[in-house]
Amino acid sequence: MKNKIIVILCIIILVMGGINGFAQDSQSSEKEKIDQLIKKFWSLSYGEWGSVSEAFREIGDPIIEPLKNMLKNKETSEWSQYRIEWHQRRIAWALGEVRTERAINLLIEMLEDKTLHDYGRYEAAMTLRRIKSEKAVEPLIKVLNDKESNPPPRFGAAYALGDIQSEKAVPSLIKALSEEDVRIRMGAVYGLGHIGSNEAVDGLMKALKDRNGYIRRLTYSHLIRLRPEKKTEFLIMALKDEDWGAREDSVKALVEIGEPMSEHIIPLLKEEDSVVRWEAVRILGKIQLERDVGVLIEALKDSDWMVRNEAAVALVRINSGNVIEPLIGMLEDKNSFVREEAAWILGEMKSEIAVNPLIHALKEKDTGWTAAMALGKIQSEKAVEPLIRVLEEKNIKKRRAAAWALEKIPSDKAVKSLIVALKDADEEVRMWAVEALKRIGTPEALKAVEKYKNKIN
Amino acid sequence: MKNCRVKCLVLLITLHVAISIATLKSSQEAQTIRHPKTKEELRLYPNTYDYFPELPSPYTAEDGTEIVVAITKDNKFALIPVTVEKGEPLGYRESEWDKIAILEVDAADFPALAQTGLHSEIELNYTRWITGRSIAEITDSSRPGGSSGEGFMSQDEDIISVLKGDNRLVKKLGLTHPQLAKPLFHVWNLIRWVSYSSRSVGRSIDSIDHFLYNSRKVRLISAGGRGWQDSIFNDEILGMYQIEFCIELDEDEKAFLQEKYSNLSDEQMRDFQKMLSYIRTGEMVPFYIMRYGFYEGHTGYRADPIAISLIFGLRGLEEIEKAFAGNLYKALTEHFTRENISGGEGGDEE
Repeated sequence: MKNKIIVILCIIILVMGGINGFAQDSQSSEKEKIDQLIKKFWSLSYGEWGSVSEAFREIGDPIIEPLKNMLKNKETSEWSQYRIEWHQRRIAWALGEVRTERAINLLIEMLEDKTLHDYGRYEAAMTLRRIKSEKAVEPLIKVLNDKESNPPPRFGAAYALGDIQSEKAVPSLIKALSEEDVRIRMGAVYGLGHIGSNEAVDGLMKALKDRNGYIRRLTYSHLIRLRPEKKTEFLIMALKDEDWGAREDSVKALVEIGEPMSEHIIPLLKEEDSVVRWEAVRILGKIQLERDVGVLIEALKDSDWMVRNEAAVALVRINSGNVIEPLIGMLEDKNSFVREEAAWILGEMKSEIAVNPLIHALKEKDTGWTAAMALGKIQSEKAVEPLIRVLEEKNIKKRRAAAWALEKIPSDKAVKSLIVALKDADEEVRMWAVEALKRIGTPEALKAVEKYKNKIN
Repeated sequence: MKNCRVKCLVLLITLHVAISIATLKSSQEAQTIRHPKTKEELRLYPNTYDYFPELPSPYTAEDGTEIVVAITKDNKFALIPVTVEKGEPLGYRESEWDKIAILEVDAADFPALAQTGLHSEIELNYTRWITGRSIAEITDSSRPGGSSGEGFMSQDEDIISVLKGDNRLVKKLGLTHPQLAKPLFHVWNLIRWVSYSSRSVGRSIDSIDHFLYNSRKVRLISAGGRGWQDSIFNDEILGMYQIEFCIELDEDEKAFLQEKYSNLSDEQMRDFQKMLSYIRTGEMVPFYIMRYGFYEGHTGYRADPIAISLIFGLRGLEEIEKAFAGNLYKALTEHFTRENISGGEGGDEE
């Protein structure tokens, strides 16, 4: 009996030892696995982190303690700030892959730990953002409100609160819109834009007055998404913004909507701000509706050169026969800039009907040169003799334009006058006379060019 | 599945880059030119020489290869091919960025520029759009805070005035826009060649101390990325890198400036000398000069034609000063506004 008991005890001891040994083996293999994973992870560059994400998830909670212990390395004096930052960021990221309750708790600890690197805490916030942990809302709000913390964890918290979509965060996010640091304000706009409640929208309306153009640009995009019924109103507000990007986004969106927008755009041509008038014309020129040519013709009389230029280009793009008559009338406008734009458009549209009025307009002292250029563009033979006469005028601009135009309408009739123009005092008149004679290509013309070239060489 | 595709793509791109570099490297090693006098076969960089190979710089070899002589940091001489020609697309950002159109001029908008290498003022006066974009739109996107933070011109400038202003400067120098674009293309090609030689896909130029150009010692200060920049024109030109280079004015040149411009304060004189001898600009600018005669307006990235002509020895300082007759400082600093330009040379009435 005694022997039996001893045997049974021995068996129990052996089995227990086996189990213990097995447990020890399995523990040591897990430890090895964790060590290997950490070693591998620490050798990866930022873009490669995703490759070990599955491994972290598989191990789960047991890796948290080693990661927590590694956080202590922050004190290591030989480490540079840059290395400390990335060390802590890796830990936060890895915890985000584990995603268990304990991992979230440690992330919250990291977020709140002011002894950590700013970007270590930022990464903790961004990881909580990725996990969308409700539990993190209060700590994130606390960090966002903490004026003693540096900006990185605070703007990280704002982004996280936005993605978690907690309405509790709205008052703090609205408050953050008044922060000095632009990144915190940007984060606040993101947060409010993603929460999207009525209160958040009210906050965003405040952000439209931000001094930073990029923040206003972001705000418009959120408001347009959150309040589609007010899309036009917001797009027009953005069009009036000082920020180039906000205006560009608005122009693109308005042009994309197209025809229905035209009625909202036309009233803007009466705005005091010339940039708004210009943007309005630019949109009409891109929507290209025949019915808008009347307002575009009116815009040719605008006091701002950019508005006039855009209107002229828009009219050429629309290329409507209906504009010819009014433009011909404008060749006699009292304003020289109106006459110039009208002549340019008629030339670009190659309007034959406009040839006689343009010939008539050659007489204009200030703007006759544009009429000459337009005639060159239309390439009407009828213009050759009037252009030859312009070559003899005193006005340099007109002579240059006439020589330029005669190069576009090569005619034997112009040879003699062009040869005379080779002696013009102005170099550019001579240059275009040479080109015109070369293009006409008669023996007399070519001989004159050769003689001229020999002389200048 | 998606991960696998991404991995394959990364692998393919890496392989492509590695093969490109290896191919270029082996073609670099194989390249030689013949010395015009001694007829000796000279191997190009990365090969270097302990002695000066007695070649002008820039030099065009019998086979058309354009060479610039550079001096490395360890004081050796290197022959770097910088030929300006239609070549292979550079390939970064893949099919979107294609610089084979290196010698293209915008003949549709500027026939005179294409024919003569200079703009015609009357054509510029008549220009209302360029590459299909209105001049107002180009001006708006070029100003500070527009498509690039610093802008392609200052707030008070507009595209036509800038084109006219620079055209007048270039004309006064007795040069053309393609002549001024060429040395900048040479610098860009030099950087490319040296970068690939060092197997750096970036623009590492650490090995080069300076290069010789028409007897000038041009020092490359840096070449680095500053983010993608879209063109202000409706074209395919894109930019990523900025380049910085300079020359040292010699004592005679400094004394000459002091004498001619004794009215300037010390600070103005320092700025004046820097404006003449230093350029920081983007890689899009040589293309812009060639295609449109555009050097950027008065921004920190302007490649002023006067500075280009002095730095690359296209004109001497006295020659340049003579062309501007006491107004050189003004020519370098005055913005190209509509008021300044319309009142300038080529006025309307005799």
